[in-house]
Amino acid sequence: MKTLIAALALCAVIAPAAHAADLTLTFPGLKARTGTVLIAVYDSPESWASGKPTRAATASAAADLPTAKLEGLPDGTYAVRAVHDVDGDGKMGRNPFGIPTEPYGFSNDAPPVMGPPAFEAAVFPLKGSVAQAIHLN
Amino acid sequence: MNRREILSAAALLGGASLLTPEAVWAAAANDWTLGVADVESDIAPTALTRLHGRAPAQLKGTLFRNGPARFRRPGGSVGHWFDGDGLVRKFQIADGQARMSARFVDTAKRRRDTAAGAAITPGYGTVAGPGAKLSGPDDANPANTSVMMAGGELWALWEGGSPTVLDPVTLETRGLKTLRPDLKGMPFLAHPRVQPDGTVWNLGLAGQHALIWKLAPDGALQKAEMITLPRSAYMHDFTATARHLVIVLQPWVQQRLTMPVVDAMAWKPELGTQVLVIDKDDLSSRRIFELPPFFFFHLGDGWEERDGTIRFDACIDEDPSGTAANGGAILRGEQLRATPPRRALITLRADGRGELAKEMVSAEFPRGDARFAGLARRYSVHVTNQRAERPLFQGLAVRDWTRDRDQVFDFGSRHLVEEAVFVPRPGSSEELDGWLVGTTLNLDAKATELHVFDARHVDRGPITAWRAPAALPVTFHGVFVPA
Repeated sequence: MKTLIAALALCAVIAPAAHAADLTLTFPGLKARTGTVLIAVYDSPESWASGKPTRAATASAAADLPTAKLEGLPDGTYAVRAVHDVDGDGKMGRNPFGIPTEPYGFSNDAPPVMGPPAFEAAVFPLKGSVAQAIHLN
Repeated sequence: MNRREILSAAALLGGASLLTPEAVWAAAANDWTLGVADVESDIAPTALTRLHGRAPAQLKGTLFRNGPARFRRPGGSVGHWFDGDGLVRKFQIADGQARMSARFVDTAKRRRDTAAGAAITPGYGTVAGPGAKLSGPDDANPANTSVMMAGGELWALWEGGSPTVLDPVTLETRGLKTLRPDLKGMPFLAHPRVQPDGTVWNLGLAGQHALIWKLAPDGALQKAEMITLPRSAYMHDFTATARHLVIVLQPWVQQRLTMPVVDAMAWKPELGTQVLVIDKDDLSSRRIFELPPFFFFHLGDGWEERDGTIRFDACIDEDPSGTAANGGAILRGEQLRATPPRRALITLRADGRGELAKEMVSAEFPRGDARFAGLARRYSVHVTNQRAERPLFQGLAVRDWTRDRDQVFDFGSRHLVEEAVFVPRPGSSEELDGWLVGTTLNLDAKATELHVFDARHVDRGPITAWRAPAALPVTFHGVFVPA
């Protein structure tokens, strides 16, 4: 009990109080259990277009349900891109014509149409605690 | 109808003058649209009925053919003949009997279009609909153009994406073929060039970039090398000699890598046609020949003479205004104004000169004796159209280049004639000693037919034929696998 109180006290110090939100992302049905899922979170159409994420995270593909928890994000709207880095080389594999060779996906399971979907198709509101499953293929 | 009735009917039809002659003709005579009709479901193995003659006892094997067979859906149809779902047909000949089955390739495109109840997937001439997914070319892959055997697998081919692996026994779809993990999703043209030793050469194209594929006879990857082309020409086919790859770059040029493909193309006849000749053993060794502008889909196998002269036949159009640009009109039952493609012989001289000899003979789907692919040869086999007022093809022809002679068998205006495939007579090594096996769609019987010709005597007509219990839309390309 004492530890819990201490932990809560610590949170109160470092977290921006009422406006922090937690995002839990799961990646069900991966076709391989090697490597990691590379995750990028964007908070605006501008960051989505530039490819510079607000936050980044990883999830081990070896887990039964690969999961990433992103804590303390400001309340707002977000969109996520994720790629299963099957060979563990730290990047999305592409064929010589630039087509991805490793599974990938977007929040809302928004479909790509000759490139990533629009931010508007992948965006979701984040307040409090939100969980989302993303299917990579 | 008497004269007065005719006159009053004409008065009622006062608006008829607004219709073009082509539209009136199409409405009156669109019986040929059976060749681009929809097939609702797979066809379980079934016997064909023998119409006449007797199959040679030595002719045993399977003709696999591919072509689009589902175009229309309640919420919207494909915008081009080339965007229909691939239906692989299997005709088995043994002991004088013939059987057939047919099965749609289970593509991502077909699944999504079926679920949407509309042709939402973009393609050669189809615009993306609501909810379309396109993460790469294979999302649009209809697997509808040709087939090849690779090891024990049957591959259904399209020109813009991966081969799709089928079980040759059941025609069940196993999935997309990835020849190496880093080459996943690389395109593989529907016209691989197969050497007599079984080595497979092919191209995968994206604008000015081309991947050159070299596969062992069992389909194993031997080489995959990127080259840059002088222009982003539309290319359905290329050819090869024993030593060289011959890549014909027509002046139908891709302006951007978007779908529908036809909307991204521009016809620039002022550029002429270029031919890139590449050494199979050294892909950096290349020559370019210049030819007058023409449009084409298909080329015959090339050969090389002692002095280095390269020759090959081609089926060419004046421009892409026929099937290429107007494949949607065909699906609507409209007859195209463009004349069907005509035969030509292309000669590339050792001194760098290129020559295009155009003929008046209508010719499409050129084939030959595969044992002579890339080697000096005498014969070409092709379909032909000798009726300007009819679309598609009604005849099968054999061209003898040595004696400058043509044999033609005309099926008449009530058949749509499809590509025929040569099958060698067991024990013979002479060029074109064997049979031609091909299909037609009989518009009166409303049924697909399977015909066998003595390849040396095509003008005598089929030596035997069978009728299927179904009318299937016309196919593009096939392969015969001897039993």
